[in-house]
Amino acid sequence: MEPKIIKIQNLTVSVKQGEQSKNIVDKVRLSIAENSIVGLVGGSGSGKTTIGLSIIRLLASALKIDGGEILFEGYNLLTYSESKMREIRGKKIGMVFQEPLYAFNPVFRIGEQIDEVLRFHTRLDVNKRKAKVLELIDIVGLYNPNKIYQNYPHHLSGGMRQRAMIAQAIATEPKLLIADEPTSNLDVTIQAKIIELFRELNKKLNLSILLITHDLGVVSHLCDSIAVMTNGKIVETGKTEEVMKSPKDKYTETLLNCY
Amino acid sequence: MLLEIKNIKKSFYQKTGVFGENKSCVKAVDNVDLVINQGENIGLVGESGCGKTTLARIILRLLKSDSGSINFDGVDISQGSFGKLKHARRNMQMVFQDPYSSLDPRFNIENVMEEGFTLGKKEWNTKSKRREKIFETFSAVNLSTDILDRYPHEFSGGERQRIAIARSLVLNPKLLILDEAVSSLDVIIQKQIVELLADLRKKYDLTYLFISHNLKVVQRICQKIAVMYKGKIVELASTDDIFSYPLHPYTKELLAAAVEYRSVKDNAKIEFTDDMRLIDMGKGHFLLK
Repeated sequence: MEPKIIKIQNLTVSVKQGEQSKNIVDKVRLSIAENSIVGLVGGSGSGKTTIGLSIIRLLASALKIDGGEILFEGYNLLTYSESKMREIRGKKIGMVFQEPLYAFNPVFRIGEQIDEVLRFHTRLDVNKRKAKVLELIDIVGLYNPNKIYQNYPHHLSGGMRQRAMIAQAIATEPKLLIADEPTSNLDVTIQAKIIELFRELNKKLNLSILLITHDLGVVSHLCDSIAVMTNGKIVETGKTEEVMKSPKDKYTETLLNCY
Repeated sequence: MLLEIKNIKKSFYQKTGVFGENKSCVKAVDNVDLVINQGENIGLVGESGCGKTTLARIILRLLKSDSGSINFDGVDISQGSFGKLKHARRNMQMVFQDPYSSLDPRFNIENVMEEGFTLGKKEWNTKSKRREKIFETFSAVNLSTDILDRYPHEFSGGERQRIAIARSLVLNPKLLILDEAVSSLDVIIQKQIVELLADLRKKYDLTYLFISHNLKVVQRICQKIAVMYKGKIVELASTDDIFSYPLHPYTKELLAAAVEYRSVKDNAKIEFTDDMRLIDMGKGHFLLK
């Protein structure tokens, strides 16, 4: 069996509603092999994002992890202290959020915000950091890095902002990138470009990617394997082609019919 | 012929510089001609910022065009006062992209639906008549009838979009403009709404102008597709032709992205000149040349 970068076992996350609590992620098992792209698909409200946020422990305060473990490089992330978690977050695990409009702070320049990650996680000096940021902006396919560095978030279009956010997420060369609906708000032409970028990063930087999306089309063209989720449970996992060709679960079938 | 627009132009001016001393001009809609026949669904596709929504707003006269004419159902609506437009407005309705902001959070569903009757108060003069019509449209869009005293926040995205569609239908319009009406919904709900739209079309004899960047959804609903790029319609043909024989380089790029999730790398820069017109390439396949 190929080595796994992350292994989630029996993860249960619940939300408190008055006296009762409800499981929104229910005994989920999911593992991501090194160097692979895994698609986590499901309808809205199925618990996809909650899994992503659980991995980097950024859950909203109303949500509680009730049990299970998340093994990253052999250690259980759920037992880590907050300060230790901060070293992992952004350095070893990067995250790209759905809404590129709100993910950046509007009062700082794009370059400064990408630089922030390097300032926090590395010991590079100012000049080296700047060079690295310019390189990153170039890697994600934005033209004229010097200009982008000086730009504020509102100067960039949605697709450009999404790229800048990916640049920020891969700045410290993480092992794993969690991408939560990275293309759902973008035009199809831009979407295709972002998908190609992910593929490139996967090859060039040996980056594993957990792609969270409801779009089976994106998954079928990008992911090595796929996990289908509904009502907090993963109902089917497997190689992308196999799942797409002969789905075993009823919900997967419904989802495929809609695509 | 239900709608004919000719030479529509609309530019927006932007002041730049510290004191707004420089003016820059964006041609949002640039010399667009389009004909929509009764019962013929047209999909308007293109990337964001290409002018799709601006064109829709001009057709509804929510925006005034700089020049050109719009003929709707035999009446020129590009000129004239609000009163004159009333008749036309009753027959054209719009469903917006975001069902979370297109319904007033302080209105209960009854208020929302009653607002749909604003332009038809003479005909729908009693509450019982209106109620009956509301219930009829609710059953057409598969909503239960006991939701009248509830508020928009109590509904899911798909249900809200159904409410928005129901509201647009109460006056029996002829033309329904759907501006990215399913883009914010997840795929399963998307399919339900698309199927619903197909049913409604038969039932109410509707014509759709379906605006979207999602070619697959457009393919399911529309007989014809108009591809828009930088304010111009660059290609107009039947859905099958667009998918099997795309002619314009931008259409090809769009298809590669939507169907194969592949981006066209060496796309030659698409330039426009003023004397470009849509030319019939045979069998009603129009190309901007």
